[in-house]
Amino acid sequence: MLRAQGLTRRYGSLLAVDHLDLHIAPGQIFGLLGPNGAGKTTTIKLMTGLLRPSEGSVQVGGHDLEKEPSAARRLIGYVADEPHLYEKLTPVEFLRFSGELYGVAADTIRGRTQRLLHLFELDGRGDFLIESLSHGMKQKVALAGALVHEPRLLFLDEPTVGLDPRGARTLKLLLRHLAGRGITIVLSTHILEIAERLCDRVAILAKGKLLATGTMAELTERMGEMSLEEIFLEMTGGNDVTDLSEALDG
Amino acid sequence: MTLLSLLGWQLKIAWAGMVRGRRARVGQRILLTTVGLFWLAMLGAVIYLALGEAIRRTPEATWLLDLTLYSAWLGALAMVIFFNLGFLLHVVFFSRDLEFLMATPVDPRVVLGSRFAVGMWSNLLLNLFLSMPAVIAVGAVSKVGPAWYALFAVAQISFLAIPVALTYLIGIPLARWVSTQRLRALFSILGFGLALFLWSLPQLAPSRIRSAAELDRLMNHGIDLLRVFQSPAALLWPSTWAAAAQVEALRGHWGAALSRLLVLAGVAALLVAVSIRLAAHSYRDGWIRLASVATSRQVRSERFTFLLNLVPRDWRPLLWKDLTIVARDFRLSFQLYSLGILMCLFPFMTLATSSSEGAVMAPLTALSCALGAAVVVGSQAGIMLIPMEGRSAWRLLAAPVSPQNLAVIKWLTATCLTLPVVVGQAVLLMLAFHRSFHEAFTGGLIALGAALLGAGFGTWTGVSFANFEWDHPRRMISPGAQIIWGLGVGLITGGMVFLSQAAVWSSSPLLTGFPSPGVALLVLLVGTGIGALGALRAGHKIARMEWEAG
Repeated sequence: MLRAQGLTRRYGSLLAVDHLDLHIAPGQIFGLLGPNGAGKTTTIKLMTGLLRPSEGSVQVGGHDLEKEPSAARRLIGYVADEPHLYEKLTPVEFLRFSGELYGVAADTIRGRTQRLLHLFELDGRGDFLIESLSHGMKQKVALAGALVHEPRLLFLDEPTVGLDPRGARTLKLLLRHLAGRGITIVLSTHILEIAERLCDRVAILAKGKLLATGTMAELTERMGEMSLEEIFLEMTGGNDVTDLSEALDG
Repeated sequence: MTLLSLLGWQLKIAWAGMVRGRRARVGQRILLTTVGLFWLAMLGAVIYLALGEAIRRTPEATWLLDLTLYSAWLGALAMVIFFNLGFLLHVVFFSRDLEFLMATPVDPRVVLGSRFAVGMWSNLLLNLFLSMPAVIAVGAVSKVGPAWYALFAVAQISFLAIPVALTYLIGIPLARWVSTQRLRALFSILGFGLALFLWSLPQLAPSRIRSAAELDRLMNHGIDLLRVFQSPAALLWPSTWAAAAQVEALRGHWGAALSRLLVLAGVAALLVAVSIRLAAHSYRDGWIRLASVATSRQVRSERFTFLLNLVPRDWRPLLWKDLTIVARDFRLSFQLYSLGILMCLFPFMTLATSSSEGAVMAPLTALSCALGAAVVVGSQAGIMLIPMEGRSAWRLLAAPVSPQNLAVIKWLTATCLTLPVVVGQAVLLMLAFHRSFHEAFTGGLIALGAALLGAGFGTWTGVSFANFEWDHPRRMISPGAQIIWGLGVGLITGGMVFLSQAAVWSSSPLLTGFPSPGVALLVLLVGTGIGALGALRAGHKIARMEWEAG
């Protein structure tokens, strides 16, 4: 469903993403892990077409993102880490706008809107301005907006940030359900528990480089019966934690 | 933390916001600086030459210098009130970081004092740009020494402190009792009304001169106008105090000048101290809420969506979304239409004061009005529509919409937003200028051409200089681009006034008569063509756009 080859992004002398090769099959939940500044968000932006690669290419459902942007983008849904929405629209209006932007028929949008608002427990808030919703509710509206056109490939940047435990649980169940229907999901997260329980495959990034990729079982086997947290810390510089108390004590 | 160190941080943050994204465009900055300096020099030179010529012909007409100074200060006051009341309120009472700063151990007086300085700085830039050329021209004509300019500098700072302090004082009770959105709207309307009142005063003088007799009449009107500044009401304006100090100094009455300056500075200092202390107390005691709570209300939607069936399907979501947001957001609609309304009123006020000339000038003045307002509102709408997306703009960049389509839809949406002005102008042509339906329709076509042109120019400007992290509609584009837009509006308005004057001088039937439908169609075609070019250029820019934010 998604193929990135030699994906590279430079900012002057800084190499934010360094020759990344990824191949994600349909129906997979793929986790991007890495410390702050590892290049996760930049990678997602490169794969959604919001940034242009300095080198390399991205193919979505067989369409080159650079050469056939419309065809590729039609297959994509994206939820950013911050739910920046149109504050003067209502959730119902926002979902309608999002759907029409991707060419979905008005009747279809109406049905999906009802289902999505119900799923995210926003039934009673559909006709209120988004500006009056809480952060968590906005995050749910953003998620619903990314799903209304039923994308084949869904990118989620830190999807559980701002959600209450119930919302996070709903999201996890929803992602599993979507993956079961053949939708490919790429998510970035700091929460290793989510990656461990939810993702079929994970990739660990640091300083723009792909350090490791594989299923949980493959990573554990490769690193010798370590937990994902231990693998993550080992690969991205785990000694920092032991130095913490020394640093705090001065 | 001291006032200066906090202010330093604030200015650093503001500067970083200004230069970010423009780091590589040194040429652009040089160009903007050159254009800005050229504007100052040109305006100053025109005033200097006009005043010099008038004094040379009539040496006793030194009252012209006084009138220039009073008008410049009054104009500055009007501008501060019009542009900055809402802005100041935003910076002082509804700034995003105020909650954080108030929770720190920094003295609230320091926080609010630094905000005060930011407000002053914003006003100072605006004022220098508008009043400095006139002041320098008067100084140059009178051949004054550096002491006079030093007095100007002190008067300027004292003068600017007064409206800022008054905004604090008015804002404190309002911030407690009125909701954030209503307060913003209230202040915008209040500022608009006050500015309109102050700005309309100089319009009482006739602006068109056809003979020596009319020149004499203008001179007499000027003297009459000067008396306005000596009326009891005008004596309460800080602009009058500042101008009076400069006028006294111009005459060499330094004692009187300094005493007036002392009054100005004294009132300013008192107001600054009281306003900052009172605001700090109000925050500290919890009298003013720190966090603004958005009103939770159900809205009716999809009332007019059937109209969208008239446009191609691809255009509908963006067109509908933008029109809905502008209609619901008072800040956006006010920013969009206020200047256009001011421009509409200009010819009506001049017509009302000189009826004989008004009859000759009616067609052209009406046309100037229609064109000017359509260009201003069209370009403003074009400028707003891309940056208006704010931090949600990535949705459009990630959506399966081609950049060219996006730019063209935004251009046409901007034109749609200008349609009320175009239609309103056509109605005014019939009702106020007693033109036939046929002529009103012709005028409407010309205004539509101007709207399309303005919207295209605006779309290009909005895409080229977009600031997606704006917190006030005034900051949707970079400060340099605002200057370019302001200069454009100034040129258009100046051109209209020049045309009006030229028409009377030449008595040419082409200029004084109403244009034929053929001319109107030509204007419409040219306007559409240039506007479309602007939109296509904007499309190219969008195609190269990347989303770094977040």
